[in-house]
Amino acid sequence: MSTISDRFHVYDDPLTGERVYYATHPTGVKMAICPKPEFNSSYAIFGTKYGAIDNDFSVDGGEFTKVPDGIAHYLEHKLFENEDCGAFERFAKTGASANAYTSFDKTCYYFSCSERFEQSLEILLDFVQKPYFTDDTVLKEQGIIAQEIVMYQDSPNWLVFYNLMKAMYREHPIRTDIAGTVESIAQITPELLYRCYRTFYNPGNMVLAVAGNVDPQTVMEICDRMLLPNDSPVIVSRCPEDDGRIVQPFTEQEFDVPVPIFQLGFKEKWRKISERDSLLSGIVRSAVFGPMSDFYTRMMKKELISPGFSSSFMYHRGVQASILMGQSRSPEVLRDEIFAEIERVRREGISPKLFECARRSAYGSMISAFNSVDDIADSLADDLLFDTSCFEEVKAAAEVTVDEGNAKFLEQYDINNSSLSVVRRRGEA
Amino acid sequence: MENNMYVSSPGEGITFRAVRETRFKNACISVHFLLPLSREYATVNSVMMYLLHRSCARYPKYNEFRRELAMLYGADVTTSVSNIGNCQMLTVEIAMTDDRFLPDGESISRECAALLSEIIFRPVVDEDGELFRSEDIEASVRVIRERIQLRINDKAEYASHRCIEIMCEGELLSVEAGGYIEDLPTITRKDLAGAWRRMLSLAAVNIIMVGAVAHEPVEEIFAREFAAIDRRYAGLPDPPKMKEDLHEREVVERMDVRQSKMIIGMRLPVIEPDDRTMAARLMSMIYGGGTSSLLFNNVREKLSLCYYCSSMYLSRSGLMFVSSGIEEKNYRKAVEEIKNQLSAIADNEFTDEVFEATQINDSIGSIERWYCMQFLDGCVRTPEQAAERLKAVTRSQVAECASLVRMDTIYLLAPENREENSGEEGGAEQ
Repeated sequence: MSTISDRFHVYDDPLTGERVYYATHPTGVKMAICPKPEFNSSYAIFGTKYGAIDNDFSVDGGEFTKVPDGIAHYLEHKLFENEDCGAFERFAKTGASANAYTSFDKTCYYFSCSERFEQSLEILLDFVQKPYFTDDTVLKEQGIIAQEIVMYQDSPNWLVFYNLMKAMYREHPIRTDIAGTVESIAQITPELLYRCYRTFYNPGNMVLAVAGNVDPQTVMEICDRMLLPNDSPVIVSRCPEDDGRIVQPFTEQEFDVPVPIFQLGFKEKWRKISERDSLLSGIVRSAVFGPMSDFYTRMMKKELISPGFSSSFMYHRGVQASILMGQSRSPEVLRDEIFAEIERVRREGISPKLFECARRSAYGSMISAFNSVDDIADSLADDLLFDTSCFEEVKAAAEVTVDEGNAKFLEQYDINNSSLSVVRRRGEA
Repeated sequence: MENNMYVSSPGEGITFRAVRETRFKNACISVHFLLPLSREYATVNSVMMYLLHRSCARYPKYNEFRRELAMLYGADVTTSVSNIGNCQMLTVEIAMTDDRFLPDGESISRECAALLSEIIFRPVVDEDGELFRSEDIEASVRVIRERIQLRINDKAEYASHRCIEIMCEGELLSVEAGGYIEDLPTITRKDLAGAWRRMLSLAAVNIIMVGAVAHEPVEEIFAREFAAIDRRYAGLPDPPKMKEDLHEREVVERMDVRQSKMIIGMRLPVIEPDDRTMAARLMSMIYGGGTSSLLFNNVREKLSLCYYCSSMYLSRSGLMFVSSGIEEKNYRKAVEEIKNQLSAIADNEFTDEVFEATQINDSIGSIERWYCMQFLDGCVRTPEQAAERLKAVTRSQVAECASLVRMDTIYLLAPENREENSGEEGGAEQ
């Protein structure tokens, strides 16, 4: 009989009070389990480090293969169909609510349940490891995914985002919709799906994160029973060379919108960043541009922004940018105001008081991220996939200083390397 | 204290509930004001609630107010307006990090509760001591106008609004909780002050706190504040009745879209406090509640007609909506299949497995919402007790509910005729 300590490394986090059991299963799958016996529900996520941007890859030193746009997402849809039965039907029998998503750099399959966790976990591990693609089943999915693609094309927020990506990146696959195009998905065949599957759905590239009313030992036993051994090949997924400079400073499109919407991106040269870096960049954005800032108040008064004015930090392999977004009656005028504010902050620094406000706010929201089993499992899965630690981020939120914030700001907002994407009403461009 | 819950009534038509929950890292205090729904007050209530969340007499400037909230570890104040059957619900709430998780033994819960009461009971006054300031009113009117205009950016949401507007024309159920653009220009400071006083005086009030923080200081604050209000609570309206004399009709509207959005509005005479609402809720889940539902597995998986097809049942209005995004050429086929699946449930043709799929959601938000809705029913159950009740529903009760559903309005938001469009310049289509 093995004990928990034989197979897991146990971590107790002092700030959140969470206990997490980490392990690497003998097949190579990385695992993290956060038992929450006081909760009624449980949540499990089985993911692979494979997303829409992995469209050009080589296996074990072989030649590079380029695959059609949208294939990772297509594969996610098709995995739900095994040879004998659909995964949704199987989950319906255990009462679990299951689904999956594909993003730029990962594909995740998950379920949540309040009963019969063990059976549902077996189904999750089983269906993801049993691909079954035929000409007929692949063709059948085209109608569904085509409707998913056109659904997004009716969204101005989707347009303004992808136009920004095209203005900032010359060749990177971030330019293309995760789901691909109606034309690109028509090129997808069972052979191509199997090739992508064998490359990226191998245990060394996969993770399992669980949070909820579960026992780590039981999860391990189910993994022992269900995970299939497999050689984990060496995968090299490449992105086109990028000099770190934007393609064009401005792009616009006409669409049926009542008020123009915009995204303003500040591109950075890609590098590996730490948890502290990404946390700091959030605190800095909120101190300089957030609702508590004088800049925000001034822009509201001038009616150049609305309460939807917000910001984000984008970070994927080969992609690194801060983005400010919202709606504005005049995005170009607003951009000039933002540039002037950036120049001012570069000269004068971030207000220490506002930095402290933003830091405390960030600490509170980091802690809140451990409120539900879904969020905990999601964070743990990301940590395993990208070799990060959500607990490091909480720790950083308790420690970072305004000096670090100022250094971060200087590094991030290069107005000569920014692009503005606008979607405005027909006839107003 | 039963089921971890403390209940008291600090005034006529006012209920205070504290649900002790140690599982979460947040605590939440919400105050819900319920008033009879009316078209007349929809817009003014919407603007008034937006004003409340921006500031209070103690922090009259928005950015100062936000800084104070940030210093309280990002305590989050939100206000909202929503319709529930024949009532309008105005909500003010604050979510905060639980004191147990703050560094150096700090405590913010009392301060957060005090701030919530400031927001509700002491809005900003101008130099003359009058309620609200004109510059704040102007800013709020602009925001509400944009919010209403922006509905069109989300085509599925826009289609839902249109369907309910057309289907429930002349009924209270068609009132837009967010308000109307045409009412905005004439709103005065006096109207807003009146809306605020009406809320405090006439509404049924439901105060709910969920979390591990002590409830006594919070209860005391609200008891004291409400004691100073001239309360004239006169009860809430009766639940709506199902419209008689229904005729199925189809409405097609055209817009510059690539995907057609279809909303099918239906009615059923199962309206809270009807005993059968649990069965109707389960019926809607089986019909189009998720990836194990009949609509998902047939309209999407078997016929490949769409990416999403789901149903939603409003137990306090007796309305049900099916929503999907399709190609216009598949419209008839989709409508037919959606009707067939409803008939299948009415004919008791569904598997025991889909029937058994029930879930309890453990999030602080859903627990808060749960108790907020329970308030309207007079009897309070825990989410666990409700799950037990859901399990007691029989197959024939589900089938009965499905057989009571009547089609009302089938709404389609479809692409414009492309030939008409071909001469237009600067189009986005490629």
